[in-house]
Amino acid sequence: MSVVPVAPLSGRHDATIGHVSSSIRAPVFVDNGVLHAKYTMITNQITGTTTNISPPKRSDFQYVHDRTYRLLETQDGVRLSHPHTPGTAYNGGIVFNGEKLSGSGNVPPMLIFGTEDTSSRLVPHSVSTSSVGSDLPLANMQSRKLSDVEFGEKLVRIGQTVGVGFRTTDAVQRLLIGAMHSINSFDVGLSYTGPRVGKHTLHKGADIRKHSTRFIAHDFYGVGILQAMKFFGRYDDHTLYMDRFGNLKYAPSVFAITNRKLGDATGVGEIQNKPLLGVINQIVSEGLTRGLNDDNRTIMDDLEMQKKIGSIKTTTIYNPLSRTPTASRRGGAIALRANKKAQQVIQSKNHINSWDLDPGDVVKYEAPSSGIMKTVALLKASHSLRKQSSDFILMSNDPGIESIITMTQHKTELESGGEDISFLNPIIEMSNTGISNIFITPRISTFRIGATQPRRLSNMQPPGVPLPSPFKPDDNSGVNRHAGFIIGHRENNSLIAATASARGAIGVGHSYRTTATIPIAAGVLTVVSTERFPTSGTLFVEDITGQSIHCKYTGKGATTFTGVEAVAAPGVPLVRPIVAGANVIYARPRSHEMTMSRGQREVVM
Amino acid sequence: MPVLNHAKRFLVEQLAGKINQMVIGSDGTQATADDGGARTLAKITPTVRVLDDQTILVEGRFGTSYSFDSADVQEILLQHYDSTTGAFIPIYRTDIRAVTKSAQNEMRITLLIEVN
Repeated sequence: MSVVPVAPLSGRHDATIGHVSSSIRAPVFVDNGVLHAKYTMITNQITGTTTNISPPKRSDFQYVHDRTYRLLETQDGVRLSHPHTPGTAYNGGIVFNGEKLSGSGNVPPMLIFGTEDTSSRLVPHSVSTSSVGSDLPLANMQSRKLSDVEFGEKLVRIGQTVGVGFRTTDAVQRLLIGAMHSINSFDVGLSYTGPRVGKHTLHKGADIRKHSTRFIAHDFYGVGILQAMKFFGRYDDHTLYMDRFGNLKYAPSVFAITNRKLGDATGVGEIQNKPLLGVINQIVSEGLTRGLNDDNRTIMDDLEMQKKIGSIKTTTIYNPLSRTPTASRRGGAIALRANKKAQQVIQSKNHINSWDLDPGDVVKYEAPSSGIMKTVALLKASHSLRKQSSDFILMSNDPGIESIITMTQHKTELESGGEDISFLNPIIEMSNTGISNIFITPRISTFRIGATQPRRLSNMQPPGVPLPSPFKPDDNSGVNRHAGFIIGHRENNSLIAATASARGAIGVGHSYRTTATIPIAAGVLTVVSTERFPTSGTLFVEDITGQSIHCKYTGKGATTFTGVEAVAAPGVPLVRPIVAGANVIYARPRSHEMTMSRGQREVVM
Repeated sequence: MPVLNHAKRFLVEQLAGKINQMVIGSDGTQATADDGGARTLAKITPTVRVLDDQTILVEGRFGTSYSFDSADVQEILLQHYDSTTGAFIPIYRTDIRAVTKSAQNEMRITLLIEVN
């Protein structure tokens, strides 16, 4: 049976049709304007009217105009402001769609596009408060700058895209006009859902064919006809069917419910269960992006199947007709639902009295092993007249997400492609948590200080001589405690009897010295003080010529050395007199004090 | 995603500005995150330096003038001390093995604080 388009008898056709026709009236181009209306499917039990056109709501679209705005990139989005023209310098927020965009309570425009290149578009996310112009944060920038997404416009316009196109059920018919094909016929709607739909109507004709309420504005040049029809079907929940007579049908993806019970099978062993399609339980639905920062990709999960299988199997479907995330979600939900339907099939053979059942029928099926009656849909039917039996592939209607969706969606809504139910749009919340730590690494050491070791022997001060500045470290306390390697002159050990001169000094330390006050007389040398000088010892004394005489003494008083005589010749008196003012130096000691005094480090932690 | 580097630097500078007291004490109980003050033996103002965007160096020295005969040093505490109110906020405490602090030794304490 082929479809012959019925030409209208008059021009513009806007009269109410008094009856429901059983053939679809061919669309006729009646106007050269774009009609924007709310197009809904209703069913009137009395008259059978199925479509309703009403004026659109004011909130369905945004008023836009040709005005340009200055665009400035901000940290997380853009700022729009009025360009300064001679005589004006307005820096306030822009007014859009009847309200001033000043804060989060305002609705942002749908699109920002460039004046030079209108394909450079951005999708604002919201409106935020700003003192200059209107701030519109952009979503999905992922730390990129506008230059990274190749948006370089400085003057922009705001607006929205409007698609102008055909209704899907009209568009598919136009696809085949003039096309070479070998099919028997093409039809829109399921012909065999007519008298067995199970509904009682009060009007003439059956509730057979319905137009969809989805409109498509997309070019399919270069796309195969069947491929294009499949895209349409994904958009408005229709499927292509090919019956056994070569008739191609573009019909809603809903199975017709019958009252029939599948005939008994002659053999229980002929029943097999097998999966039909892959166990996809997560679908990534991609559509067309609206702007350079738009990411029209949504993830739909069938949680029940994921729990059942225990893992997530995902696939990506691309829907070029989805221009918004809502449409992508709808496409993904439809695909999930269709996949869910075909999860489990039953292959049952040798049924009697079932010659009238065709694929697409929903029948009652009694499981032969348990006797439980359940509703199944026929996927495939093959009838054998010779054997007078039929083989079927049945598909079970498992409850779960499917039942939730169908519970609140009536059959008419499914066919009309009604508005999205909110739970078809799963809310995916993602939260990123980061870890921040503060570590403290301690290093604790103790140092044993060598400076606390006191000088044992070389801690003497020169007698009667005040400490010069800078100091000589002699007092063995505070800063005068030393560390390290000490070389110092040792006080003469009076127990040692030797009177020989000291060995060569290294050059540190000091020798006791004093000054003669009275010229030497009878072996008695009077000096300023004999403090610290040992009771006997060796002296170097300057004589009148300034040369030193090596002499010894045998005793001392507070200011006198007694028994002073030259060492060179014992018993020989001094030949050169020692006058007052001569330097009297005690001969250098023989040895030095050497102490290794070293700080020791001990690590505690 | 962890905290941004700018925030780490900000944390480092804030913390470095607050650490103003290093205490050695005699309580050797194991350090926990809930520790409060120390059984104080001596306190000094440590040297605090910000080494880089994530690291603070805190150094302190208890020289030979600090000598404790009655107790050994068994804990180190870093804290913020508010001189106007007298309140203190402990920042870090560690317990160490007993160290006898006398006039013959000095303790040098170095702490590296890293913000990751």
